[in-house]
Amino acid sequence: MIKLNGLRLSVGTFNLAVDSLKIRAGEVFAIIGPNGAGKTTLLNALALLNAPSAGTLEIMGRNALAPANKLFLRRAMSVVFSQPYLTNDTVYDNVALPLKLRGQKDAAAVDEALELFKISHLKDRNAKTLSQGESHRAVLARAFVTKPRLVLLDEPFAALDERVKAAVSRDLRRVLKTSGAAVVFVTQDQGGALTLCDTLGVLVNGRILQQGEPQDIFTRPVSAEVADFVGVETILPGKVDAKQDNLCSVEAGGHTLMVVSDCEAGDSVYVCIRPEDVSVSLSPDAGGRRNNFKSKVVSVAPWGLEYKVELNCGFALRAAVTKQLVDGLGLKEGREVYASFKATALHLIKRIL
Amino acid sequence: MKNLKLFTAVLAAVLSFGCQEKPAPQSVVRLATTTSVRDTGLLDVLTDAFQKDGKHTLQAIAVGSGQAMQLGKTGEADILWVHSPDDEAQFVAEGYGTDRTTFLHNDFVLLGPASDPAKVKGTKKAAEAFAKIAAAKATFVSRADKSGTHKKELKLWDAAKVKPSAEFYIEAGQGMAGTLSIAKEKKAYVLADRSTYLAMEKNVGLEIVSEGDDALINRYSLILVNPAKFPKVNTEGAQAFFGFVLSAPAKELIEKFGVKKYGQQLFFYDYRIKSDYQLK
Amino acid sequence: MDFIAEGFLKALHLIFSGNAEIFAIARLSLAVSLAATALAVLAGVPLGSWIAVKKFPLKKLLIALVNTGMGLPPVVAGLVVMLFLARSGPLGFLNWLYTPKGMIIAQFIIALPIITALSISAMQSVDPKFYQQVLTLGASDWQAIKVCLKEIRLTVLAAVIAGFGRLVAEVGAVMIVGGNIRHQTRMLTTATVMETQMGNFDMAIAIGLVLLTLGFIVNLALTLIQQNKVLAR
Repeated sequence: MIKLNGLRLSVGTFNLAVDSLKIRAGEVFAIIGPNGAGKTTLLNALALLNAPSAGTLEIMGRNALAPANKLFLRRAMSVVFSQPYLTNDTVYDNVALPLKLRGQKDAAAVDEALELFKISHLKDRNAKTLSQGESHRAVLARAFVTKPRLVLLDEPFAALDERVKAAVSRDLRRVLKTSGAAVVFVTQDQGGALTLCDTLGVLVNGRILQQGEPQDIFTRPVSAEVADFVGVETILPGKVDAKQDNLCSVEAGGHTLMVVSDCEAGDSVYVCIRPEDVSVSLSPDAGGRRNNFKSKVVSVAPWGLEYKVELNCGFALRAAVTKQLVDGLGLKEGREVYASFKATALHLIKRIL
Repeated sequence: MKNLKLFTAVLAAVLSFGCQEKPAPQSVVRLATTTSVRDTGLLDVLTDAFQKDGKHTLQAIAVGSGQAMQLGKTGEADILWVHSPDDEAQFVAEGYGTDRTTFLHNDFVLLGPASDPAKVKGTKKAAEAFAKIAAAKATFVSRADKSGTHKKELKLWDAAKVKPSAEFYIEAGQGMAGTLSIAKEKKAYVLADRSTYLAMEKNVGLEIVSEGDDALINRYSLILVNPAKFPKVNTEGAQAFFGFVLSAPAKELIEKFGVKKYGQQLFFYDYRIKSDYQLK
Repeated sequence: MDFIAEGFLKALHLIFSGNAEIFAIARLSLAVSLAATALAVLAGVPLGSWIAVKKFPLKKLLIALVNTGMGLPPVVAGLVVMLFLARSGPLGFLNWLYTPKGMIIAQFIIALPIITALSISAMQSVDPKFYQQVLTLGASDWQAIKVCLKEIRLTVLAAVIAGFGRLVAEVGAVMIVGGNIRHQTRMLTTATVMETQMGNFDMAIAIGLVLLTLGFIVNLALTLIQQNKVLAR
């Protein structure tokens, strides 16, 4: 769907330099990065709003940089920005605008789009009178009314408060799943990225430092920069087997992990384990933690003021320990130890598949 | 989109309504004439009569004689009606005009404030009056626009052997009405043609302080702009107007003009009618 | 004071007795200025919008030039048009000098920079991200401009009315290009000058009052629009 090579784009003093990016049809790709990393610049380049000074960009098999293709490609994709830009018309007219611009009239499609985002009852209201959440829904309905093959989203929920965000993103998730469109979205919210995406790219200072499955990036960041941004964590794909009260037993990494969470039985999840929450000891069951695994030390390396210990307990696990502990337990490669962590220390991120 | 349609509809209505009340004749005759002819109202009367048969539209531009002849020299006018004899002669001699016909006259009067500071009242000779004004350094307003009136005024200064100095001489650079307004405000002396004076008398606020000198006779001529030199000239139209003015009906209109309103004739028709031009 | 009061009373009488001459002159003034404004809008609004949204070298210089054009003295515009329309001028074959068409051209030239400059600034007040969003909805450049213009239509309308107000009040250009010919090119402004010079103050005041009334109506419309009373959603 998207093939990008050697892209160079300068905005003021900021330079975007992305050497390669590939996104398949139907893939949901998230770009995360800190403020000022160039996420919006990259998205604008993909949205054909800013022309790069160098590089090639192919979208849907066409040369996206050729002026002749611009309008066609613009009409094949939808872009949603973090602010809802609506015109001083009814909600219906706003959602119908993309069709009108293409010289089409399709009341059924408009009604469908309104229904998808649960705002049919607002169709005759003036768009400027909508609440925050309603405006974002309207913008999303508008984005999907043309059944686009590619959807670009620039921090679509950044301006929303938590409760509204949860509701709207739930509906968006549903729509994305059923539409089958390729999606590129840009966000600072890593948790939000993880719930929606298939693959992830980390953009720092105008460069994509790492691309791939979220697991890879979070557990094996290729550089200190990436690690810094994502926060070094263990993340394991898994599934919630059962739930009792608020305790989930999660099948992940070949083991069963106990996690306190809101997720439901049957949910596909990522289990996230912070290194500082992992305790290492020579004997099992230290502290009565629910999660306890026999592991072998793979490596020990200094990490800031502490030490990073990589363990293998059937799955890769990372622990942060003090120098005293390393010396005290004699931690080195091959040492057999027990790793434990509390059910409350873990967090689950629900995935869409 | 419907706003645009409404807008264009209104525009079309306004344009057709406002710009012309009836279909305009194709032949446009451009007459360059003097402000005195317009300000007296004579021009309006003759224009209406000339346009009655619907064959021509008369574009009458009222400027001074000098400017009128300038328009003739560039072919911008088709026919001239001016009153500056020396310049007229030169105009024809240089080949710009043909068929110069002097057909009308009135006279100039010297106007001044009731207080008459230069003690001009009663002076028979105009040049003498001018000399008195210069001697008394009394304010004098000049047309200063190379018009026929202006040229006459300059001739009189010459005759008085005086060069008026800036301390009392005001150069208006305007038509007769405008110049008279200034003279009224400044309570100054001014040379004006009698017809304009009579037409504006109630507004002028000045009195006649000298009149009747032969030097003050003011003769008007028609001149056709030479089509040989300026092919763009509307020769047919110019000749139509020419013929009209030098016809019995026009003569009657001119001789009757102003009699009822001002109790006297404003313009005196000198031309001896030859042809038998009929007004419709 | 007496003659002013007298003139004023006579003027009111002239107006309310429906003096045909005055109303013919008013009709012509309206027609000429409306036509010139309409043409300036047709040319200036798209031009100004285009300049505002497109990026190109020397854009700032062009905008500065257009803004300077706003201050173009009407007499100068009249002079230039007269030189072009004169028989010996390049456009003499049109025979538009001393006709309403010629006056419309002169007034168009006066109004064009005004409408264009105001369109540029109105368009620039639109959030550039809004314009980008409209592009991403599948709009061509002109479609996007039209959508944005619809959003700022009240501002554009105010600009149009301001332009018209300026035209109906100017005297220099229409005097030079029109020649103040009775029944043909005599406008409210040129007639006022002539009647004043001839000392016909009642006529002058009457025409002046009509002119003032026109100006008042224009400004009233402007104020109402800006207060959003008219065309309010």
